[in-house]
Amino acid sequence: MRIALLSLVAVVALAQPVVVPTIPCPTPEEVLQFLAGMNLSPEFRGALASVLAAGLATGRATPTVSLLLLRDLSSLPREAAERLLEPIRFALAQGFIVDTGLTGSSMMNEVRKLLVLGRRPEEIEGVLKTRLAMLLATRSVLTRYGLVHAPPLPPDKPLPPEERFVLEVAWGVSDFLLWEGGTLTDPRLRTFVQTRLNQLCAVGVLSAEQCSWSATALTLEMFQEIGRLAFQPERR
Amino acid sequence: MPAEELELIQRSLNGDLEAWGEIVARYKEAVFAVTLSILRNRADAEDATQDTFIRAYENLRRYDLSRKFSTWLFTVAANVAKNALRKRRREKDPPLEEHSGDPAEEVHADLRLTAVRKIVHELPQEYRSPVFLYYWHGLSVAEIAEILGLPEGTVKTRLHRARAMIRARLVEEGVIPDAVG
Amino acid sequence: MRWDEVEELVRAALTREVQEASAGLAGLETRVIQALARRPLRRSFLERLRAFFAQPVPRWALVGATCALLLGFALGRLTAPRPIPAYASNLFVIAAPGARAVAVVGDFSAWQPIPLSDPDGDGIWTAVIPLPPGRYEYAFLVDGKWVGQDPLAHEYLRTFGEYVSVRYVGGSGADRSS
Repeated sequence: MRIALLSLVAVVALAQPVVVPTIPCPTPEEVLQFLAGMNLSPEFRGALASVLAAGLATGRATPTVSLLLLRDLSSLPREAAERLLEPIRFALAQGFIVDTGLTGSSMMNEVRKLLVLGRRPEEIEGVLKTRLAMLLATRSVLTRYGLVHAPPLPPDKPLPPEERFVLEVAWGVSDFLLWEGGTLTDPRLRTFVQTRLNQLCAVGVLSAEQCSWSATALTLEMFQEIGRLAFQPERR
Repeated sequence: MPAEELELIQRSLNGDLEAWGEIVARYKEAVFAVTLSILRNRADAEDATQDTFIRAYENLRRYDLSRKFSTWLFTVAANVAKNALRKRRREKDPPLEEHSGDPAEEVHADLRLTAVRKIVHELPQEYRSPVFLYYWHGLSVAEIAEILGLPEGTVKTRLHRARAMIRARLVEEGVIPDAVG
Repeated sequence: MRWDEVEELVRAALTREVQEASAGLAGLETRVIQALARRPLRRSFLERLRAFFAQPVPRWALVGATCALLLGFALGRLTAPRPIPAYASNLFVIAAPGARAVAVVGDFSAWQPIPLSDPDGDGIWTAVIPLPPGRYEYAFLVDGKWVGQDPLAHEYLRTFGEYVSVRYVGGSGADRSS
């Protein structure tokens, strides 16, 4: 039986040029240990460590991406690193998902992408602040329309499934405004976000209930309101 | 799902049996009603209720947190009870409890309630479970369909037929007149 | 008597039935906790697999397994289709004749480069990456240069003027378009 199993593995593994990504899989302790050794102000390091530890324990961040990001940022001057980490710390403290691991886009992964693209820290900080504003605005609007029931929970509380929906809606609206050159008055906004959510439903990232909200309850006006709130935070 | 319940489930997932005990306390009566509706025997339903909570705990990792917890738990309960029913039929063990009148009830002479209890108790099992889940648990047809693993249309038909049976028996026993408004 | 009154009676009858029968539920919490605490530990799949491979292996089995491995390797090399079909599951492929190093970066690797290979030197660089369901942004790096438009992508984004490809991967771990 063992031989049959090994043969099967061999045939499956070698029949095509397979490359399995060898991404390190650290423990949360390793991440926090690395953070403890980073050149950051003690107050900021302490504040980040407490929310990151809670976020790692409840699935709002993953050790793999967190450690890679912290390693990236450790090569930056202290002030620049803190400016990039602050929106992430704030989002975590508000209970948002800042890192979906290796299966989608989120704040931490976005910083890694922009660093690979060679963008300057100030540009990356601008993107992160927009993403954070969108997350806050999305949660606020979806709660007002009754699509999100759970109150915002601190990062040490279990992650409500609705947070993934908040993340994907916020990401859809901000991708349209940041990267598609769209504006809030552009009617393509709804199609853009809706198509994104439909695709996420089709591959099973969003739950059936969230897919039904996405198909029936979301409107162009809601997306526009999210955009307006994000850019005029005093209305939030 | 209330945040408090989510936390209990999360703690149970981490092996905290006290948290699971709290879940048992919250749901034991509702789970018992599911198993009783299928097994119609108090002792068997109690055993099935205990088995349900043990099986649910062992399979908690399979529970999708985005689904309603009670629906998932009742599905486990219905499966446990149906298995027990099959086993009981195989062993040809017939201990269906007779419906015994409650003396206090009889003293108060609520004959209508006594008649309805007897009729509901004697409904065939495939009609009894939807009636319990609809009237006692207050669940929707869609949820009942999910729990019993039946198409929604079948649940609707069974509820309709169960109502017709109850009505016919009540007329037969002279509790209500032929026409019910 | 109206039908809604009958329905009320049905509810009352069921409540009475459950109430009367549920006396035996007292202390169920404790019984469940005790039963769970006493039950033999169920080993996870991983633990069982580990135990399976921890058993001593006879020499002939090792020789057999090595032969099977070599046979598998040979079969794989001989039967690998050329050119690699574009519909293969989670296949990342790019034509880069003359390139020295080609890699793919994306959400699935936290934007760390995963090298592509071109064993027969025909300029078609490939990697097959098993991925769980999700939406993945990615791009190729050809000799360090960003190439963001993959013809197999479902959509594209432009980030600071650079294209990024996007692929949706379905439930089975395979590319949903394949």
